[in-house]
Amino acid sequence: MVMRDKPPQQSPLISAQNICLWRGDKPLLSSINLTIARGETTIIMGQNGAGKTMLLSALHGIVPIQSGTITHAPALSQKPDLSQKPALSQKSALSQKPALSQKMVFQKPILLRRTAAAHFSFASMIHDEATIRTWFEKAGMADKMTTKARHLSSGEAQKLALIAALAAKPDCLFLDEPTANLDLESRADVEALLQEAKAQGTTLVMVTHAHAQAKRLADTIIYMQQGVIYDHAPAAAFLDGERSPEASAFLSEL
Amino acid sequence: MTSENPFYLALSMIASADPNLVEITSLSLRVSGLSAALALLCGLPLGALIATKQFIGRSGVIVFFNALLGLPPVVVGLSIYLLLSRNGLLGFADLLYSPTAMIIAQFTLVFPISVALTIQLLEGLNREYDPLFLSLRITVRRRILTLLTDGRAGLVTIMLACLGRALSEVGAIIIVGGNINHVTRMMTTAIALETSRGELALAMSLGIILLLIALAINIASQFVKAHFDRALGHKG
Repeated sequence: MVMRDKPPQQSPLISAQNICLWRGDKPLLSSINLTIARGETTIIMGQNGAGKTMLLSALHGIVPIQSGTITHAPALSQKPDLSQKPALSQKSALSQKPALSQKMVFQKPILLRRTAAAHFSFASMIHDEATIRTWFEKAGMADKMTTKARHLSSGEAQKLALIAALAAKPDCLFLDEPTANLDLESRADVEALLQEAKAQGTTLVMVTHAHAQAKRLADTIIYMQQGVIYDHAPAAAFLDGERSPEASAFLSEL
Repeated sequence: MTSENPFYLALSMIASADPNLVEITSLSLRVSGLSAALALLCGLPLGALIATKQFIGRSGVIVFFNALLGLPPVVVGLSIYLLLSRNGLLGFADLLYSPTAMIIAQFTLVFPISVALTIQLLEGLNREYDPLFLSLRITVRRRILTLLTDGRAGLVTIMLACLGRALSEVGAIIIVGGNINHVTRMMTTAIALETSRGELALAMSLGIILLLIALAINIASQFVKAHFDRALGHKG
């Protein structure tokens, strides 16, 4: 196992110590240790079933972890060790409002049965008409505001989910293969929105299968296999070949 | 011959708005409408809560309400009768053989239906929305309101199903209402009584009205569903 933790220049935004997660007796995440630096874009790569989505969901706090700790900056919001009391304490940890403002964009956007603008308001808590319009214009969807969210094309649906998340100005945005089902044009739109968010200081943690996309966006790359992190390295070094044999094998298959 | 045919007699009673007929129909609509409305007022939020919450014994609660879907009206009538009779727990209120007693009975019958159907409807929707709700960290109250809003097409169908059930049931109200003329005589109980007395014209005219109401409810339900399917953007 090759671990090349990037020396953190500043205090990490999120740090995870020894996260474990099982479903039944099958381990989905095993002893995950990682830190996410503020303002950086971290790309998580790996095969299907490697636990990428699970890691993302655990860091986001929508899936309860069975042991380990996840610490969020800036507030001292260290979560209690969940291994002690299962069921109940996990739920209370989930319902606690974390200090860090964070959003997630799912691989398949989850949209309410409402108009696109109404969905945007629901997800972003923004109700000001002018602000909503600005965001729709930014996504090139000004004419789609009154369209039913579920009538949007998959590219438009994903852009709607993305602007709704970005409009809340989150410290951290988790993205689960946001461009997996999109055509080239929508993919470029999504990436442009992500680049802009990044320039404004949003920390991005993103799962992707696309090598080229990782190259374009990543500061740091994590490679996972079977719930274990094999590599956690600066993107340039990782892509130059400074990586585990497992990661090399995976990249050569792409 | 023609004038004695109960069917023609029934039609002429409906056409001339026979006062007896109007009184019975209007009492029926008021009692069943009120009991269905009360049942829905309690049943929709409770169903939505059960659909969203994970708790110990949840599947038991769901099985319980599903079992009550097939609750026999006469058993409900008997239970409420025992409760309201002089020696019953609520005997002091002197409610037996009153419209209120019939509302209580129909409420008891329809409430589990509204809960069970709401759980069925909103459980799937909640499963679909769950990651989004978790991610947005919304409160239980907001979650339930969102589900009720987004599931409104199906909820209208549930409302009409509950109203239809209350209107068409006879076993419960005949026991607790007593089918007293001008007080607790409803459409279904009147049909039962008039048929056994051989007054087929009144029975049949009430039957026709009941059928028409059932038909209207069905048409309304279809119409509303089609409208929402378009408006809410269900694909396909």
